[in-house]
Amino acid sequence: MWWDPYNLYRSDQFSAFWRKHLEDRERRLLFIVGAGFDPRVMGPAKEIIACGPDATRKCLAIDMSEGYGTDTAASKLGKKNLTGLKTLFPDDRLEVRELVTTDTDGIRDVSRSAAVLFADFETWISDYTDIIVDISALPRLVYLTLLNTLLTHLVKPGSETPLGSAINLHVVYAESAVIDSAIAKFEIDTDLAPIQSLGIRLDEEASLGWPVVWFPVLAEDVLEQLTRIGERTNPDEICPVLPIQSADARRGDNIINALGEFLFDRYDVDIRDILRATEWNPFQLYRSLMQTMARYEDSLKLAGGAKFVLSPLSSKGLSIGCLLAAFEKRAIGNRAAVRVGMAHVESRRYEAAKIQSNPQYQLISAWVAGECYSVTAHKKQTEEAQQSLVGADAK
Amino acid sequence: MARNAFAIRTSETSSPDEIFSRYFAPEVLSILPQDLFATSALVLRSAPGGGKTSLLRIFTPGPLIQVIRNRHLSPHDEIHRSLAQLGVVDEATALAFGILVPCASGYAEIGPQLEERTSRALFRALVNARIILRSLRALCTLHDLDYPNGLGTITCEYAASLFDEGPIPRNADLGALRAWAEDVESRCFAQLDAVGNTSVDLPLHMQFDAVLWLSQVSFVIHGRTVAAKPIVMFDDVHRLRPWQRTLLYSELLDHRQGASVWFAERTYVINPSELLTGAIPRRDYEEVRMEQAWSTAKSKQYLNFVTSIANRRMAQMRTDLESFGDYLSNTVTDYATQDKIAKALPEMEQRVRDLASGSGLFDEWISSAASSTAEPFEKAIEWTRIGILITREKQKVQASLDLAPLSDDDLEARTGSGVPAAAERFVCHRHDVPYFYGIERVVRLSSYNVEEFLQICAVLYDHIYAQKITRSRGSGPVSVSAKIQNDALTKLAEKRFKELPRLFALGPQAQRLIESIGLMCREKTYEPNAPYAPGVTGIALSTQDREALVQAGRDGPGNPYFELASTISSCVAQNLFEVRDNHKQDNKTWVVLYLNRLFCAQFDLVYHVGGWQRVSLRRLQDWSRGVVPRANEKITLV
Repeated sequence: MWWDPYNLYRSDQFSAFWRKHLEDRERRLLFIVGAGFDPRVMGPAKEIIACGPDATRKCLAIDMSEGYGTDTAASKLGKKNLTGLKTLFPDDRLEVRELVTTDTDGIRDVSRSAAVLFADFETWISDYTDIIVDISALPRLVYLTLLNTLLTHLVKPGSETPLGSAINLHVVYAESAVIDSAIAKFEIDTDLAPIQSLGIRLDEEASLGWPVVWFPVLAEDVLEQLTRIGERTNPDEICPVLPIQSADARRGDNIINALGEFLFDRYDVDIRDILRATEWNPFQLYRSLMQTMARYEDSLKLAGGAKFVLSPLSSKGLSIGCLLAAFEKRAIGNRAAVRVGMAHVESRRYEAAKIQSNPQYQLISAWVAGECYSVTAHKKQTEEAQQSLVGADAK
Repeated sequence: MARNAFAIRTSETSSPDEIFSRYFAPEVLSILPQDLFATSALVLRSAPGGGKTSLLRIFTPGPLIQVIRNRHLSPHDEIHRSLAQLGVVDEATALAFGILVPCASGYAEIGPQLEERTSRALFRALVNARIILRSLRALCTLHDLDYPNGLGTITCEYAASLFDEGPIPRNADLGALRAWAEDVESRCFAQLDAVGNTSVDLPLHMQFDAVLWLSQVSFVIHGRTVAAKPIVMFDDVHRLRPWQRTLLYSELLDHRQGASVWFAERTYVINPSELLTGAIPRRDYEEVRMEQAWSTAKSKQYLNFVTSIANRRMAQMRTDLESFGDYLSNTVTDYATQDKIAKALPEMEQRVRDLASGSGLFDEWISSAASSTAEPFEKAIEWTRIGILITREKQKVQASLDLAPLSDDDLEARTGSGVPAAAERFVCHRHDVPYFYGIERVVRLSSYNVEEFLQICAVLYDHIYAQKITRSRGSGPVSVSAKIQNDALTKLAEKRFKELPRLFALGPQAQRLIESIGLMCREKTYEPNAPYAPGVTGIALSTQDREALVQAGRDGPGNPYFELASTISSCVAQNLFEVRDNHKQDNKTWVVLYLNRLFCAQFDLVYHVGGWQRVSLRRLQDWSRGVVPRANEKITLV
């Protein structure tokens, strides 16, 4: 597995990491954020800049007002956030790009629009040492597409250290289940949303007869989304992912309570097939998914192959875990026997009236590609690991 | 607890063929034209969950073979008989087989990033590739061959044709043909996944050559020519981009090139994209609108169909419960209800006497009702009926000069077909008596939609099962009371209504529109003279209004009625309305939009189809924005 070991910094470690990272050498930072209403928009950027105020920095902010409806409370928060961004990135350091989600046929394709919006990234990515994608205020389709595009450019599957790119890619977010549940979602799409280069092609003829294994990442208020994805994907096996180690200890119980009829009556899910994933650690879910997919791939060889469908419907951390698993499996998986992709239905309207004025959240930084995965770093880690084994043998 | 089989959605594509065919209810085949192959094309329309995909699937080789193999055994014998009547099977032989081509995935991604001609050519290429691959797969299944290895045992011969040969290779063996088609599909996907410049290696086709190919080719297996005719079945055509749908229809609806083509799509009321085809209905193609076909079918045909589905689901659960309808009480004769109504009878009688006071015209009616020995509920309905008719008589402009009391025969003559039903509704509403109960009413609440029916059954099944496991031995048969049924269905209706804003784009507008329509229907239904007996349950658009909405859809957001057109289209797409197209009344043609029957429970309306009211576009627009103008305390319609 590529992300083994991984680099994840949470809470106090967040600041400690960024302080050291920015002190190490001169860095040129590019922040990519959502210019939205989520109160967490400013959190990670503010903290990182505070750790290294002299680092060269620029920000690309994505304005999503064309494609997503909001209420008055959300509009107000959005304006406040934009003012805050202008303060953090003064002069010409802030560039706002508008996401136009509907094409000339009137068809909505958020993912393709996001990919087109950043189609020029190869012309500027080399100007920076660190690309920091803050997914706190970005809709899922946008950040999954963006990160997939950047990873495709930076990761070299054939290399000894595939993730050891010259440019560092960080995914940062402010995790808060309370804020997530305070944001009300409306106008759920009836069909699966296309996801550029990541969507599962259910009607692909070459893999038509292969069994479909679905990994929906569960949350409380996603019954309608699950119903629609389930109807479209017609899974043969379901391995639901249940978030654990949440701030609310009863969260898992609440989710099962809300979704029990769907899981056990409608789809006859075996409770032994439920995967548990630490809510704030994307790499833990990534590992679980990679291991589970490998086991299914082995046992479904006789059926000709397998299709793995991932549906991240829960926290941002778990969505990143799904992305990393899908990305790696698509890059190096056995194309003759495996297809991996995501299936998602999006909401077109968000309302923020229930968000508290000073919400609490936890900052998380995941380093997904760059110098820490390079050959030098890899060698150093391997040597350290071997030394510790020698020590153990001596004992 | 036993798994609730009504919650399972296995009818469409997910269940194995043997399970699908065992639980397939053949009554649905009766709504197809009896001369199925008289035209080369068939268009099948229904609301979501109407049963289109299940209907198409029974024609595909897997279920077809199951039916043929088990044609002497129940329940396959019934299915075999129905298919034989349609000319699809003949004893142990399939005379036709379906090639299912879903339109839900991949095609809509071919969009404006490409130049128009390239888009069309790429679309045709992907369609052709998929038809070829699905045909080869279907052929193997039909003849019990392993796919793809079994393709080696099939050879093909081509009939000479006057048409130019298209891009599909005519001289390749089937293995090579499969590789060719998979390559075409693969190159299409590579293009769809790319962002930026068009790939130079795009497969571009100028016609839907695969349909022509199917009409030219004969397959030979072990020296015998395959006699079964192929039927290309496009499912979920509404999921295509508008120009793709138009292209498919315009090039295939009147193709007359041999292979039959079927299209299944969601019902449209306002369709901004013209079909641009000269195809003539009933000459070149047949159209079947499933809900309308059920509503005009022989009495109880739909009832038999859905109860057959329900009973098969019950059998799946193996809980010793058999016939679903038998467990639902279909009367309100329990003592508590009768007692409640009996106590209200004197007040009802007095109200009628007060209405009739000052005139001796109604003395016979009142006297007959007063001396009736019927059960309290029946007496209450009778009093209410008389009250409605007295109100009507008194509202007549020209008073009768005849002073003799009206007879009971006059009462019967003045009682239109809807008045007893209206009277029952009035009684149930005024005295909080259950109204939605019994299998027939439950079926009606499903708006001729199988998925709606299953959702309703899932809710009621929980009560049936609860009764089964909690009742003590010897305490009588399992029977869910009318009150429990009514309460469960009303709660389900409320839940559906409350969820509307979340469920789809324009959900909030749809909810406001439905609510205003519901309130208007309730107001009209409960007018003392019940002018639209049994009650009002819908609205109507004139032909001009419908054309205005179609134009609004074409014009886009600049047109003042664009949002209304989109809202109504979404409501139809989500089965919130039952649509009656080309309804003729008063020498005019109307499009009638009846509320989904389940919302009739939300707004205390009748479960019958009922009457409708013409509402102007301006008023509908107001309603969708939450504005409900009134005049003289009544909701205005224009």
